[in-house]
Amino acid sequence: MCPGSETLTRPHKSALERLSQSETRKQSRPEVVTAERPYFPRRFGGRERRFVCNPEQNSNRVVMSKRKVKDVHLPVGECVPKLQEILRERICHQQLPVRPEGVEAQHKHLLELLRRTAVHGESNSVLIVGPRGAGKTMLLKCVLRDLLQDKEVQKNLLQVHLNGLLQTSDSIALKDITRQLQLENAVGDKVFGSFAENLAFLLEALKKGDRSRSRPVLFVLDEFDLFAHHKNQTLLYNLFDVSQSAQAPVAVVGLTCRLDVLELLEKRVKSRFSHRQIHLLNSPTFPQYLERVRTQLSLPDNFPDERFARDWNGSVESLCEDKLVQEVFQRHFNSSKDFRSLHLLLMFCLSRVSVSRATLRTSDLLEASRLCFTDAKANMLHGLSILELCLVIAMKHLNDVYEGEPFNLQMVHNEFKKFLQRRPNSVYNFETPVIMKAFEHLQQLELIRPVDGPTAKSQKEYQLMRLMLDHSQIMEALQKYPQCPTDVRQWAMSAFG
Amino acid sequence: MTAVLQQPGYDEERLRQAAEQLPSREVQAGMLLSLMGEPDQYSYPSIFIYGHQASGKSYVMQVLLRELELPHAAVSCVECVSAALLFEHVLRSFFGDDAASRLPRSPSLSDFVRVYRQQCSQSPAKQTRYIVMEKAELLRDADANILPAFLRLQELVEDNITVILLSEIVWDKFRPNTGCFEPLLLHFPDYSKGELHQILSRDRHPSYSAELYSSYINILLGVFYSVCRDLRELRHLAALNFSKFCEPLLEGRAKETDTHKLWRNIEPHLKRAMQTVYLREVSSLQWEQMQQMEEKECGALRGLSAHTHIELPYYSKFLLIAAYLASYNPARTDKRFFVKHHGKIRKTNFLKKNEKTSNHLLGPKPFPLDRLLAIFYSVVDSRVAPSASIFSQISSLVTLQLLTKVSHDDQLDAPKYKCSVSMDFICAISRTVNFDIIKYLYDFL
Repeated sequence: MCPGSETLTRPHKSALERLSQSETRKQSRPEVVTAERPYFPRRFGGRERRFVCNPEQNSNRVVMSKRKVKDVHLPVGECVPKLQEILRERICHQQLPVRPEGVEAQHKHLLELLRRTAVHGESNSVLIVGPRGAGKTMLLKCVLRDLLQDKEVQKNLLQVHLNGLLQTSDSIALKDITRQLQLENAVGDKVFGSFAENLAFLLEALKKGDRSRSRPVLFVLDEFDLFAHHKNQTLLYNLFDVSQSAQAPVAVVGLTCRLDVLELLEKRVKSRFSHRQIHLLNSPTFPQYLERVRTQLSLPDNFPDERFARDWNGSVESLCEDKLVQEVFQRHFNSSKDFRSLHLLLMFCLSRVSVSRATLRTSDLLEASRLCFTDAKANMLHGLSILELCLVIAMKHLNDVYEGEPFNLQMVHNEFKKFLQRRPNSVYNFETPVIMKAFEHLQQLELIRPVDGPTAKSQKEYQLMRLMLDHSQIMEALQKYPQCPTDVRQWAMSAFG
Repeated sequence: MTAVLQQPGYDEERLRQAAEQLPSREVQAGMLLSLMGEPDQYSYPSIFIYGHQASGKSYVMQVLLRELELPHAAVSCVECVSAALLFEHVLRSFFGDDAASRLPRSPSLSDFVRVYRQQCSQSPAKQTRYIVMEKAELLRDADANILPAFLRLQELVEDNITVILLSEIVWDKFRPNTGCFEPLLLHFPDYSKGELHQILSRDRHPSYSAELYSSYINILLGVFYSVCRDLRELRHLAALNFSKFCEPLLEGRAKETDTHKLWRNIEPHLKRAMQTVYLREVSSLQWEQMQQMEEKECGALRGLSAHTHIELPYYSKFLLIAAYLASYNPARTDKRFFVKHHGKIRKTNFLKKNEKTSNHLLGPKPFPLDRLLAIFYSVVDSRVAPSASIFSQISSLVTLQLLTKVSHDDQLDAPKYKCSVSMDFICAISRTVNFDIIKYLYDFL
């Protein structure tokens, strides 16, 4: 026990009581209800705020729709920005769907679990595991939204949101927990006390409570695997320990993309975890994938201009039935089933819709797909000077001859000289320092990389390097290179320099 | 001349002004603008822009954000040596000095997000806020959580914010082990020769005609284009050498129409510039001075690399020679070179399969201290005692970076070294002590 706990707990007594449920709380401190969940309203309220921001626009629309109930025609100049606004919010801001698709079972499971904590005061722990972009956060947010529709739960449940990227150590995490629970040792937003004091205080607060009296706390740990890298896993140990013993009811929900996350946990932590996992493995079929495209792009029914919405939805529909377009989507589907990469593609498409071209065309999609699939290294090779390209070709030859052994500048220069000797009146007779400058530029672009780290102390011309390019990449880049001299191209083709 | 950028939601006049400042980048600027969308609409959380040096990445961003008066924070990752500086800079440019002062001492990312949320709730964004990070490749060396967190900053702070990363290096080299939020990738292609010509011709000299300057740029590109495509470098070279180009005109030896004469005058001069000014052997100021005093040949001035001569003590010279021999000769051949009455052994007897390539191609090999001393005693004529001064000279050669210590620092009894001087340097040294080093090198046998 912490030596200062005696003095510590006394002033904090009221805080501890607040954690436990009391009847008079609501009357005495009405403002607490809103302040209780400091992050929550903003997390979900982004949308409402946006509409509050421009009330005149909002009211304007209401008046208009009242005046002409059935058929409203807005000029295209107003429809397209509206369309952009709706679709952009859907794609970029990851707006919540009304109903989770394809994960109904998981949704039900999680909702049931959290309700048991919120209503019956049962302690639970669960891990949501799935690859990136599989909708883990979305699932959790949906569940929370549905859960909070219950008035009882809304009044009862306390939430703590932590993220492994932000709370990089246990002491930071602990301070944030204290802050989010609005405990008394947080004045304003400053938190007092050392790590040990904070921990003792928090545990004291959680231990004081029991199943019947305390308000349940929901801990959401985003990027859960990063928490497992904290020293001694103190935070995880304590959270799971509270969830195992008959103390204040807590639910610990971890979100992670690592399948082997349980291997990261220490034995004592692992034994306290309930081993309940929810897997979100993305496996849509291609028709489902196309359906997703359709739902992502189509306009809702309450769009102000019905005719425009109809036309747009029709164009989306016909786009999805186009053979060429389906091929493109099939290609994307084959490279990744993840919806977030689909969003990238749709974002490029959407950016090509403007007032003058208010429909999606096949060409837009082809162009967007081309942008998504371009090889970045080939793009960079395209911008190299001829001298640098010659050096890359020399490296390619060295790689071919010596089977992937690392090389240094001297060898590359030697190889390049061999090429020059065969063409005595070539224009590429550059001095060594110029070649060295070109070589350094290649290193700066990370097209070549030193074998033993950048800090190795050896002369520049003898530092061993590896080429970070593929044989086919070089040949392809050579085909596309603008005004490539014929002798250089022939040299690249020839098997042995 | 230039196509006007089009995007609803922005002032037309401003768009036109921005477009005028962006020659040959209309496509990229237009695409960027359409991705950014109208100021009050959500934009994609993070955009990654890559392209070569001086392909206008930060310039386009800067012009767009400044001309359209969008709220933004321009950060250079070179300047932000610690994350605290980065956080402070971002908060200051969005919310003023006040907000930046609310960060605690040595803030974590969590503090930054908290302060940002607070400030943001007080002054919610009416427009998309932009954070532009130049030289984003340096973010990889910062704390492991910075890059993934900034990529999904929109989600973390719940504000309409877009992070734009600018880099020369492709995105594949950025991706962390456990993955992250994938940004939109955008490529800025290199300028073609025509575009370079067009851009460089814009800053012509007012007292000469545009055609003259354009033909000058043509000649300049003809010399330098195969080596350098960096716009900044080319512009610098163009500014430096223009006065030389105009010389015959001022003296009346040629008219503006005598393109051939002008070309003959400037071409050798530019070739010399490639060997000197381009490599920063001679500073730009020196180059300008040299152009003024005509009779003195350009390049007669000794550049930086000509100052390689270094004055060393007598024994240090021999130690360095011995180190060079030990580094570039295989140990098997020591007997043949340094023992008297060894008999004649032909090189072919020594030749092993893997030694066909010359040692001067592969670089120096490490050698132990004993071998260095043995060679040293055999090349020095007089008898030298292995005094402390000899050993301290070896270690001072290491601090001068003429030798490199290969083994760990704690190995006192048998340290290993490598010689790190060039062939020219060692030849000059051995000439001063009348030692014919070529005779002792295995490669030149």
